[in-house]
Amino acid sequence: MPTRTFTVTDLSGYSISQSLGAYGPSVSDNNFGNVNFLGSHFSGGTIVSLVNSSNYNQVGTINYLLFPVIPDGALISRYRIKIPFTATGFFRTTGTGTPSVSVNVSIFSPYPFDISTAALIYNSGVNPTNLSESLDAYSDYYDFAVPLTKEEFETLFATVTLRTVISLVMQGNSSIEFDYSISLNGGWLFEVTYDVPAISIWYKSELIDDVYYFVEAVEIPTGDDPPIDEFFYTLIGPIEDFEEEVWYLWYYDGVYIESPLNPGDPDYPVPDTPPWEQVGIVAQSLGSLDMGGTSEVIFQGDPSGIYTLVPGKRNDTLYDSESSEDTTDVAIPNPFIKTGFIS
Amino acid sequence: MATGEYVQHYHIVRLSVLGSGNLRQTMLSLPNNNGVQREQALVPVNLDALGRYPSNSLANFKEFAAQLKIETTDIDEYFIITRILVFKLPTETGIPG
Repeated sequence: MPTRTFTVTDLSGYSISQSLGAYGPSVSDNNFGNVNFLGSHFSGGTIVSLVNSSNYNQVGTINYLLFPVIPDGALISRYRIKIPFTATGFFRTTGTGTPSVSVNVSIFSPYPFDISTAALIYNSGVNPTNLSESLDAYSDYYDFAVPLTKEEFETLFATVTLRTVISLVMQGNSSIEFDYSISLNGGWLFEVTYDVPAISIWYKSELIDDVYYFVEAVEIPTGDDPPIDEFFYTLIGPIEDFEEEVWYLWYYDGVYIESPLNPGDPDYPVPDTPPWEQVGIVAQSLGSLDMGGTSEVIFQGDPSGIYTLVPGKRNDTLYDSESSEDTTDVAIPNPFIKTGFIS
Repeated sequence: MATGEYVQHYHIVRLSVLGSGNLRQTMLSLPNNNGVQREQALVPVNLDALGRYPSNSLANFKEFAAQLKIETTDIDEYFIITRILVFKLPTETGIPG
């Protein structure tokens, strides 16, 4: 199953929308309006930095909307995307309490899809690191399956509709004054696999345009204490290396052919025309085919046409007129007799 | 038995024959309008193993009239026939009556 790693800085195939809500109490309240970030912000490095935010309800939100390039006429049977994630949160506080930083990843889809967190790798050495509210109220699993442990989270495989939110809560115990760094390092943050009913979903339809995901970050702090003097949150590097895998489904000759084509990949070029419009060789083999055996060359030369009678001879002999010594004996062609009709 | 007005059952072909190779015998019916004859190939006779005995080949051929075709097909095969005897029995009559 081939996968493709590409650089997000090549934005030609993507629609990007970002917003940074600096003062809203929730991710849905983006009073800050829409701020467009392009290019370099996707190449890694600091995504958002909030300094001296005395407002403890301050919420920063960054949305990444990525649209895959899908050739016209293709059906999407499976869409899997994995986001590498390395986040480092740093906050400094002078108060007491248990400040926390959460990193939310939201996935929006108009279709039911499966989300597997099996690929989640996080640095369990960070203590404490916890997971909460892995699936929000839009998830079918909200009411009864909130994984709280690493093991639960890694084994979670849920079918969700419309929206789900994965929250990684970085939590640290503060004393009087401390600098606290916490990090989630390495690996794929999550893995989403869409197994959509491909027949009903056509690209370029209104439906598919709604499939996107974005990463939400960062919400600090939660609770009433302590105030955060300084915080910055960094997505390091590998956002440019996120892995995308799109399985297209081609309808061809009455059957659906699933192909792990990836847009832009020279190894798996997108055909100019859909397969059902392509005309050509559909089967080709190497080798030979024996058509009832081989023909044998019995004589090469210029036959003379002169018969020589030889007593006791039981075959015919072909003489080469150019070389009298070159002869070939051949069978007399099926000598036979027939009786008259016996009645 | 008078001939010509009976359907005959040809059942034995006996040959006094010398030679070498496989002697192939075929019973042939009267041709139809297209010149096609119904055929029945008999078991080939190995002339090399025949010795001084005549060959007896079973046939199961019912026709008003039949002819026997004898041939060889491979190189250096030959046959010398001194006697051909076809045994037949009339089975149905064509005489109106």
